[in-house]
Amino acid sequence: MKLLRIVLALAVFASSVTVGVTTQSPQPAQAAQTAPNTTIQNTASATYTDANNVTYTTQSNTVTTLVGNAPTLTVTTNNGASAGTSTVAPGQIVTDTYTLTNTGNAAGHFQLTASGVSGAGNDNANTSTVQYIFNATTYASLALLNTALNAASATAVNGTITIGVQYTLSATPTNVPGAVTTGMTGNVTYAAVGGASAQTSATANNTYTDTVQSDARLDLQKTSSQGGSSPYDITYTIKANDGGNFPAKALSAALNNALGFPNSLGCAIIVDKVPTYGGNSPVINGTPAITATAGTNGYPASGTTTAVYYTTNATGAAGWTTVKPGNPVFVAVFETVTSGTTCLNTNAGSAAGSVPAPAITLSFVVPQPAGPGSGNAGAYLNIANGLVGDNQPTEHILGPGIPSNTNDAGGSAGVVTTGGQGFENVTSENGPSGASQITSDKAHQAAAVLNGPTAATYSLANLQTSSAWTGSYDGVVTTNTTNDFTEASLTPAAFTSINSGTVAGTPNGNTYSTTSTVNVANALYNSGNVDDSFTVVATAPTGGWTVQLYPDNPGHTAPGAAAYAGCTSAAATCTTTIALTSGQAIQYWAVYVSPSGQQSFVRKDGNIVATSVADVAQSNTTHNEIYSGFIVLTKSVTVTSNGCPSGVTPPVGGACPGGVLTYSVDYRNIAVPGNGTEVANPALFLITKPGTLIVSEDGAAIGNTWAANTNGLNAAATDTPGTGGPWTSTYTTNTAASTAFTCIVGGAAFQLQAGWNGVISFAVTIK
Amino acid sequence: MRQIAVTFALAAVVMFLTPVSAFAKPNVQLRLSGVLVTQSSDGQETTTSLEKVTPKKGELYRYTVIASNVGTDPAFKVVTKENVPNGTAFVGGSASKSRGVVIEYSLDGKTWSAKPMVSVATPKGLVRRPADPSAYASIRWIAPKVAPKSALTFTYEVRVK
Repeated sequence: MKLLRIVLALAVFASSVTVGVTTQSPQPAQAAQTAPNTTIQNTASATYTDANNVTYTTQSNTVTTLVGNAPTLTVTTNNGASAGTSTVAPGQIVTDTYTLTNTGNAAGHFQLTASGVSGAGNDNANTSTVQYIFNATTYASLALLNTALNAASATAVNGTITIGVQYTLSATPTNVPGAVTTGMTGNVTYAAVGGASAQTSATANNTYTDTVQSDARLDLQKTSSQGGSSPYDITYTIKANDGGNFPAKALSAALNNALGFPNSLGCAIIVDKVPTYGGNSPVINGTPAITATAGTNGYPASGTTTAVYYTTNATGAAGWTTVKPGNPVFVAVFETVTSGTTCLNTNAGSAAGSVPAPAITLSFVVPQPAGPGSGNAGAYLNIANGLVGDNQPTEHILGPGIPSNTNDAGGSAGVVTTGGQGFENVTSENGPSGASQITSDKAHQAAAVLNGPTAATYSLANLQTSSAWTGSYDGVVTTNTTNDFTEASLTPAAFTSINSGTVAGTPNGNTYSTTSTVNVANALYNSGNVDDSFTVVATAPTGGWTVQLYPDNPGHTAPGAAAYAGCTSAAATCTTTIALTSGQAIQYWAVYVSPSGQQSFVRKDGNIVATSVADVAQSNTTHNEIYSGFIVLTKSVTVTSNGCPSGVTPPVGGACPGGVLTYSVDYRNIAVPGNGTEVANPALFLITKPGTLIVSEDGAAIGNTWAANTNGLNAAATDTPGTGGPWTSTYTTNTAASTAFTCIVGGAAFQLQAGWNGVISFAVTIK
Repeated sequence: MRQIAVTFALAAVVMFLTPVSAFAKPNVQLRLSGVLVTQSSDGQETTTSLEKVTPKKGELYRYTVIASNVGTDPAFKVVTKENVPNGTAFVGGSASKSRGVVIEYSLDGKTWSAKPMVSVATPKGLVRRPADPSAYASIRWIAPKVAPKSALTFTYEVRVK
């Protein structure tokens, strides 16, 4: 019994020291996957007791499995396992970065089987320079890259490498918006180790879809408004916004400094060449206003400031200052970027010429244009331009008319101030960025016309002046531009005007036996500020006269070949329409024809009325005063002594031999001299040519008998100037006993002006 | 006394040289096998003996141990233990259950629990929470009795890491 207990005790001891066999592995397990050439062994163990509570142990067979190479990999993008996405701009150098992760159970080498620009991107064909970036080195082909991958250290389990597929997108891709797709397919290979043979994984792949969107795009909208009453100032408002898909980046300090802006990062967001008219830059009224709210509509929340700048430089290439000059050529908003590199963040919803939610707004006020044509549409044409930087690796200038891919760095002011480019762009919404529409403004319309005498010497300036001359055509009516006049005279050829009247200044002329024509030049001046047409109505003098209107001949000496439309036939009145640009003045002709039977020494009034088509309230009249002879001689005789013997009464007005007769010849220019307040138009009065008024007295001429019946001149005849005198006449054969003489009134240079007169007297003694 | 000593020595020698079964009535024997379990797309399960496979990450292995009492007496307190093989992780809930059999797990092979707990550091301090089954190091089935000529079958699954 004692022996049995000992045996049992030993048995219990033996069972208690026999521990269960545990699962074993000859190699340490890796944290993630089991390394190749590892054996996985499994053995079960058990303990139990019998009815005597004796413990037994037992264990199973061992199940062994050899771990082999199990290469796997993942290819991920910026979206992890999903396809990558990015937004790219035309001209951009794009790198799609793929991450290859060794997800197997050993270190291995990656290889790419297919990678690059591939897939269905509709702008894939617009890419170039496809290459690969690995470990900061660029490889031009997949083969070169794979060689490098093989040469590199094996990537550990769960280790990663990144490979960039890089391409250059055309600056002018076919599709915007569009897409470029890239792909990467690769595998990983593990080398043989122990009983685990070399293995290459299945391929894994992923793709990127790069959405092609326009780069930053500075949208500008320009509007103008004009006051409804004098002084009709014009307010310009320019709204700016980045309506593109990328931030508008600040231009380099070098460029800004070269232009005269602050030597800082920043953007000339709005550059407006102040509208000019007639080559003159107007003043800017008051202080232009900038509206920009931090953090609103793409205006950066911080790190930027804006200010109004001006320059008088003709192209904006220099001289920008915050001090407003008298007549700035340019006004601008310059945004200084003191933090970061962004001038404007994107703010969708705008387009070139349409900015409903602006990041920055500039408004300024200028006077309306002035001068001829200023009332025409487009007198003030104005466009706003602006410059920002793009988002390319090497920043370029985005601005109207500026060639694509113009580098910002280097800072040449010329590129943004060359004609047609940048600040000097004149094309509406030119290009993808930085130009507004063109506003068109004009002065408040003020039509006006002056219709009047022509100038002595033809020129535009003289016509403008003469058309404004004032007059009082009959010397009674008010002196003004409507009563101005041109005097002219006509007589039929070889017709001698005879005054049968005896009262000086009240002639009684003989009548014409034929018609007679006179051409009168007049001036028509569009003195308004708008191009206009004028309805010109000519009315002939009454009594059977006719009138036609003609344009000037090339030499400005006579009517042209063809009458104006509406006046091609002689008539008592005719109407035509003459178009004149603002400021234009022309000479035109009124051709008057007097009827047969017209009495001489008569003043006839023809008038011409020009009325603005643009504003019928604007009209002007001129009068053509036509005289059928204007130098009238009135002869009278006075019996100084009748010579009759005492007690003899001579007949009434008669005399006896020895009587002395004194003859008086009144000569006068019967043309109306106006009322004396006319301005600047003396040349338009009828006036004799120098030295041509010659009064001849021949006692033997037809109608005269005093040569035969008198002793000739008792003494030399005398000339007594009247109105307009004095003047000194010269004579021929003007001596005592002469029976004839001539008197050159006033001498060789004298001209008898309208209203002037004189009397030549001589006495004879009856034989 | 000398005779007693000799007897003791002999008894010890006999005890060590003679199988326990020769004089112990219960005799539990273990048989372990393992298969790779794959599942086709239609849900059909296929098994392949582990002797014929090269492990790959993620593969599911199912181990089966059969404890057979080939003795003449019942075996009591039969504790069948398996260590989760290195390179694999226990699949939670995969241990087979039998009536009257208790299943326990161990994170270290020393302490056992039906639901091992771990302490996790949180901002509020250490918090006790159930351990992830993939961290189980061992599993054991405790059967109160295995009758003679009968057997118990236990299965569990692991996934290759």
